[in-house]
Amino acid sequence: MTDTVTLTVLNNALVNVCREMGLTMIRTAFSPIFNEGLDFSCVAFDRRGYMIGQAEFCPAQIGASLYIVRWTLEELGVDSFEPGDVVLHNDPYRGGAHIPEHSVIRPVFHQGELFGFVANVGHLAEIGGMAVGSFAADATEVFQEGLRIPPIKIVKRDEHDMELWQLIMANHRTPRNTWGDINAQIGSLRVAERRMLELLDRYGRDVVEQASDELMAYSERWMRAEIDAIPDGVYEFEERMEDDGVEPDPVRFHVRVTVNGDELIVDWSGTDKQARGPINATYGVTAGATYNAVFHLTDDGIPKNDGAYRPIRIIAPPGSATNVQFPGPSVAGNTETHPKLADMVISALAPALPHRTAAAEGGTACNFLFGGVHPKTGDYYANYHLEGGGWGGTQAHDGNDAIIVKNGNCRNTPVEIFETRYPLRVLEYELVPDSAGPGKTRGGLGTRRVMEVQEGAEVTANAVLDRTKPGFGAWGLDGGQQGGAAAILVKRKGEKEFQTFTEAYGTTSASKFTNIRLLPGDQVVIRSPGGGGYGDPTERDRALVEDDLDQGFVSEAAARDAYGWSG
Amino acid sequence: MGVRVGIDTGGTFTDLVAVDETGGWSLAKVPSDPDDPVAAISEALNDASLDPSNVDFAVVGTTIGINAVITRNGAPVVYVTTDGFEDIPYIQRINRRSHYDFSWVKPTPLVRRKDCLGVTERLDEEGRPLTPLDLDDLVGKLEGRLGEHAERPAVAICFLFAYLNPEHELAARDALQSRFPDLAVSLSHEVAPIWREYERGTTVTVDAYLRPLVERYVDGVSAALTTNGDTRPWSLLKSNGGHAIATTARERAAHLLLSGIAGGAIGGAHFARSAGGDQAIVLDMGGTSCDVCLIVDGEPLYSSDYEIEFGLPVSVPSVSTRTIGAGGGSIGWVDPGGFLQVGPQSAGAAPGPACYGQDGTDATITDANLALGRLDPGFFLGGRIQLDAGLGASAVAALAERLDMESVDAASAMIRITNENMANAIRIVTVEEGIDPRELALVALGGAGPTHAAEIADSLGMRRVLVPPSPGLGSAFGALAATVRVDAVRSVYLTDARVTAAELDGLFAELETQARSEFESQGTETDASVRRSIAMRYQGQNYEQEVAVPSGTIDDDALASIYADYGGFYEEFYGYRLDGIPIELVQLTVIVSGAPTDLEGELLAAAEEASDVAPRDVFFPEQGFVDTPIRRRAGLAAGERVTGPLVVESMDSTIVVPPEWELERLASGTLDITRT
Repeated sequence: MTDTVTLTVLNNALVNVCREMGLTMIRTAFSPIFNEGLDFSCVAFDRRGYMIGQAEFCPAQIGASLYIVRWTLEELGVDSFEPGDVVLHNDPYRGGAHIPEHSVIRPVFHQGELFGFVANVGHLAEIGGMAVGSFAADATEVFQEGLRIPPIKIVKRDEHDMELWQLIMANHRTPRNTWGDINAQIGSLRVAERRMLELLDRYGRDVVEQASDELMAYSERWMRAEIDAIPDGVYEFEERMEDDGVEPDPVRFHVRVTVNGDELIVDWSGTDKQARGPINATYGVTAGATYNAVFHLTDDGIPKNDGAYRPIRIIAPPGSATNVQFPGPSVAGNTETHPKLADMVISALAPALPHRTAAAEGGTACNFLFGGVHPKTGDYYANYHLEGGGWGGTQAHDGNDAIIVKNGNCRNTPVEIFETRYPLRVLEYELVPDSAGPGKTRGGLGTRRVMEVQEGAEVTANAVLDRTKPGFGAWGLDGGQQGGAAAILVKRKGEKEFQTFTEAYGTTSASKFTNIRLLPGDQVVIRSPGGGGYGDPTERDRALVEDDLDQGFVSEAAARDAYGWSG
Repeated sequence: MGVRVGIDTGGTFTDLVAVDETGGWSLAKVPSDPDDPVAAISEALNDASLDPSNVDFAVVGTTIGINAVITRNGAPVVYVTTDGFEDIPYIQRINRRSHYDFSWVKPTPLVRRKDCLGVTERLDEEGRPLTPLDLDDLVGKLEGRLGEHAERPAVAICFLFAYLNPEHELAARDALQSRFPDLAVSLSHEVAPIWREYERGTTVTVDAYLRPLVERYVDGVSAALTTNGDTRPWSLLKSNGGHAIATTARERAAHLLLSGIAGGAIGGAHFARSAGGDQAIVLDMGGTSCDVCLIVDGEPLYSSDYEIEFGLPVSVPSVSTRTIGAGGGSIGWVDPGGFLQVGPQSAGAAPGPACYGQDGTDATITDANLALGRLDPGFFLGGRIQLDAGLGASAVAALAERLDMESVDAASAMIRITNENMANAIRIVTVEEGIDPRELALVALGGAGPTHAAEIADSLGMRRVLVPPSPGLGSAFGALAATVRVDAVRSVYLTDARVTAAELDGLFAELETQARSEFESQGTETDASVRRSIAMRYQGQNYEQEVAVPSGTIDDDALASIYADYGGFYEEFYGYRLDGIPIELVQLTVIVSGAPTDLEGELLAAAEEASDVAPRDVFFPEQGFVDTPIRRRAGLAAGERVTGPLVVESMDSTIVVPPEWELERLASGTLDITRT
């Protein structure tokens, strides 16, 4: 047995290895989705494929990274790794979350013997395919979503394979960013490897190995104790997405959570079969969303290593929208489906854990992707733009306004950076009054952004949103009401009113479309959804209702209608 | 005969150090009064037997700014911005403090939503006016808001792209001040000429928020330094570690936010330099927290990304420090998984550690140090606080029982965990700069820093610890050691392909003129030294690296060598090159500062008892309890060398020298402790 103090020290050190990997990444990456959006994860594994450490950067990859590394090791064989190798892969059917997510994995050899692996999983902003920004909202096959790379050695014994690089970069629209971003990932692995070796030198390999085994056992014990405290029972929840981007019908998701002593079984059977459009979740996304929900509901202090995941069993029927099979598309599953799946698990367990839950959040990243040739520079650019929505109310407080979906933790792009980089002007960026779902504690507010294409520019635009149709808003809990709807609308130059993209361009879905050509003077408005309310709004503290009125978060009409205010 | 005085008004104590023309020192440490921060200054002057009329010059560092922001105790603010963007203080940056946490609530803005006004005006991304400023709209809207406030608000103006073209902000201030003559107006391009509207907006809001408070404080300190109508000249220490005369410093309240923290870094850097340790970490560990600052080439690092709390940034040039919740009062506790953790909760000053005998029952770091024999209950802070060893021991024993450990093991574990937490913070600070901590000296400040420093150094592979004279007065000393410093910053948006050497040379000349004229207005007699730098990055990246610009005219050759320096730096840090990718130039900086204040010689040799003390058992993790010699600091002779284990006690700190370390008392009074 390692003493508990050494365990605490080594646990912090393993997290620190991953955190240093991430800091290197932030400083050197090219795409805003990395350096502002922090859409990547840093993890360390032992040689058996157990995760022994991770740093908090992006929750979306928490499930995926577990499987990406383990399955890659199973597929290639641990013995195939030599010192200085780096394996690259982005195959969504091999544990990934969606095709833009690129993993790099590097072995750590200590004194000539394999100790384990460090890995970095990150979202590349542009990887080719049918739509700029590689978010093909109406794709029906993975081949339309971008260049798929099975696990291959991009670096062998610290020598880059330049022919592979050329092949990859020839298939991406902004190859310079690809070069910068993947190099930043690979560079961060070297930093992590160096730090891990220092740790092994200092404590000795045996001590670190034994301690990491004990740390996993410790996390597992703690997670089991947390689950044990939840009343045994079967808890269910159902939710629909408004459409899949290709077919007009809603897609139904179903979860059945069984709490059985110190184990959780999260069963997604009853979910619709995989959709034709790209809202499908890979197994990595469904697992990630499930873990994300469980981590929200349990003590944050549990070290997030392999042990924390062991008491959670996940059933996701292959061929369903929670476990898409080749060659089904999945690019939107990570941003649109993940937050809803996570909120479903949380809401299913709300009767058992009311003090730890929140009503549903906005649940769409409002993905808006555009690109073209910049009129000032003549260079091809591509941008991945997203918005924060309102979060759900909790027993203790109102939901936060304008926060990114829970599968990620990206920041918005400041208007001054946005306009400097891209040929669009932002005309308004504001909170939307009355968008919060009413409740005893209300949801957070969504935002509204209006953009206009500048003179001389021509922009190709794609979007993936959800929750734009009536009745599909973020749900409330315990008598709380739905949050306000999302929207993406267009007003072509010379027109008076905003209309949907279906009305203006005949897209199948009003919220998910690709390759729309926008011209100078055309305006686009993106409205993010509000969060769900918690508890009966007529029981809301009158002083809070009046403060909402005073600050303009709630209109007088809404205060009367939804909150029963009679002042 | 005149004296120069450095003062640090902290949350708990107000410290003073003063030196007269013969090099004689006086010191004072008096309790602060949060309700009347100026009173403690008069008291400290008294305590050090200084008559204000003898003061040649005083520099004051203060935490009033940061305290007012944390406790939300500033002035009401009206925020004026471009129409359509009034909600940016509420929308913020849309990210969360951490994952998996429903209990987190976004930072409350310092301004009410209905006090956020949008007025008609717009500049484009090159600073060209798209829509002229509508003055009637501005004055009309402001009139409406002012009428609803009982207390006259301060106004913060932040227009989009004002950092590229100030004309709308300047015109707005002129119009408001001619209509409302006594209105305080802060402009974003003056307070923080940086891009990113949220960060610039929060910074200018903080400026307006603190302005009335800072003005009252300045008036109060001026009165305390006035006798018979003669006010002695004095300066405020700014966040950037330089000082500025109070009459001008009061105009930029946001720049005083980290005044209190900057002193420790400047003081630490001074001692590091004077001991020949130009590359160092300053570790300032007090009762509740520990500030870590990296010193490179004898100077603290600077940054502009300070956050009051997660999501509430203040982007002014500041000494770059990282604060972690580790201090003498940090509490040991058992987490739900059964592991021992220490901090960030602290017993603070009340009730304080259990051994203070003020009804505290939690085991703190001070209790653990006492249980391990590292502190003398009768000589803690020179005997100013009597410790009750029995109370300390029972608190530690209660914690040990919950862990199923022996008391001494629990105490030792608390120390180890705290030391490792601080070591991890140092690792992060150094890795961000690509620096190997093993090459650095560790400068220990604060009451608790010298007690822990050698073991923290051991855990990082560092081989040298420096303990300055009176480490507990490091911040006040830093105020005294500070020099006048002006940072002139300008955001630009240039690329290597688009800018010529001549254009850059012209831009730098303008900035230098501006910085020099502000420097000269300080009336200082020292020579100005000028440093210039460009923040650059490869196109597409969002984080910049500062690259030094040598003095002299910037011609084509000089510019080529600046770009080459950047490429070389990149390869050295990150292991690969990015040749051929355009380089963006995003910020030009000119720093004009005075010569470092010369304070060499026998420093701070305050009267202290030098008598011998009996040895006692002190615990070290490898050896267990060891019969350890105890020395009074004042009894160490210049040049004397003593090998560990050893404990050195003084009026404001206890220094632990573990086995395998050796102490040398330098002529300057600094203790140089090295790994053997």
